[in-house]
Amino acid sequence: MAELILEPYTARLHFRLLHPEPGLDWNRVVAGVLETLADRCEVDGQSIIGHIKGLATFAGGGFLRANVVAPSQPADVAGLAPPGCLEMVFTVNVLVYGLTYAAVVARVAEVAGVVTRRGDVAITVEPIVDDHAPHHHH
Amino acid sequence: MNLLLVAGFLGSGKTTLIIKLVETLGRRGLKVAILVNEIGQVGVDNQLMRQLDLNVWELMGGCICCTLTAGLLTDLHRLDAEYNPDLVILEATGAARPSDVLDALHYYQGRPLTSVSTAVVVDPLRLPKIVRVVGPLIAAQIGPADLLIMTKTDLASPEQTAESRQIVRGMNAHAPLVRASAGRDLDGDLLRGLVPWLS
Repeated sequence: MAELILEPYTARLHFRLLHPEPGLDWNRVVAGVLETLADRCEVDGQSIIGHIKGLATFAGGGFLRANVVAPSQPADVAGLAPPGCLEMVFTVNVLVYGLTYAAVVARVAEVAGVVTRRGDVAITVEPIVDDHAPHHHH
Repeated sequence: MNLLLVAGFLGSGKTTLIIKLVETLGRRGLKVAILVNEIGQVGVDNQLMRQLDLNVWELMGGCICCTLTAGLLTDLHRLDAEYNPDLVILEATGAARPSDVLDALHYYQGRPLTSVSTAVVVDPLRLPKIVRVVGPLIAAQIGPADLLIMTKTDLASPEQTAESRQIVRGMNAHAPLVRASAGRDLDGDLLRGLVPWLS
């Protein structure tokens, strides 16, 4: 397989609870999103995940970090959202060899839409755009 | 000032290892600074380390080996002058080649570094697949390593571990190869390999 391109993608994912839900496991929500995204990013053997990782920090302190490196592996999650958290901003870096930036954009949007349509949590995607020249070693 | 370059493919466990090392050395009273080079517009690892109150400096906007040499050298100067750490840990991006980073250090004109070493982490759960896709990069990472660290050994099967060991040894026959997992403290061979100058 010829060496693949790497076009980094970064976005803020704005998570918002659509209904009050005591005891919502935000770790599980975020992990599920990243795992679903990983499934979409490594499908046909033409791409490979470097990592999909992100972090949310909270005004009163604390953080929630999640990381997934392959569709076959569960997300690794550390930290905890504060009790009663209704929304969070999760900054995610998506690095997938073999996917263009546009392809990653589409997959993130697709996953956000799928999750939002389930009706519990809404996700709004805010891409952080700058020079995203392909990182390509010769 | 000692320098430890930690390299290895994306998601292989560099940040987790570094955090453990800094916490371990901190308990021993050592001053450690971390230079983090990440790909992406926001330094997620950098932010995480700040949350953990670690002394972390961020090199953003590209890869050290391509674009950030000047920033690296400037930060090393500042660290030496303002903080005088016992150890600087440089976390390279997962797409970096250690030799390019080490080449950049040739231009460092501060006080001579007491030691420079390279530790490369490998993920036995993914290494065979990664090598098929970005083999030259992996070889460029593993080949010059002074220390090889197989992470996630609590998750890998014996077969995965054996296959990855074979791959690694095909690229680097001599560097010590040690195991690590997130649930274990740094000890023995791993700690000695990372900071051999520490008595």
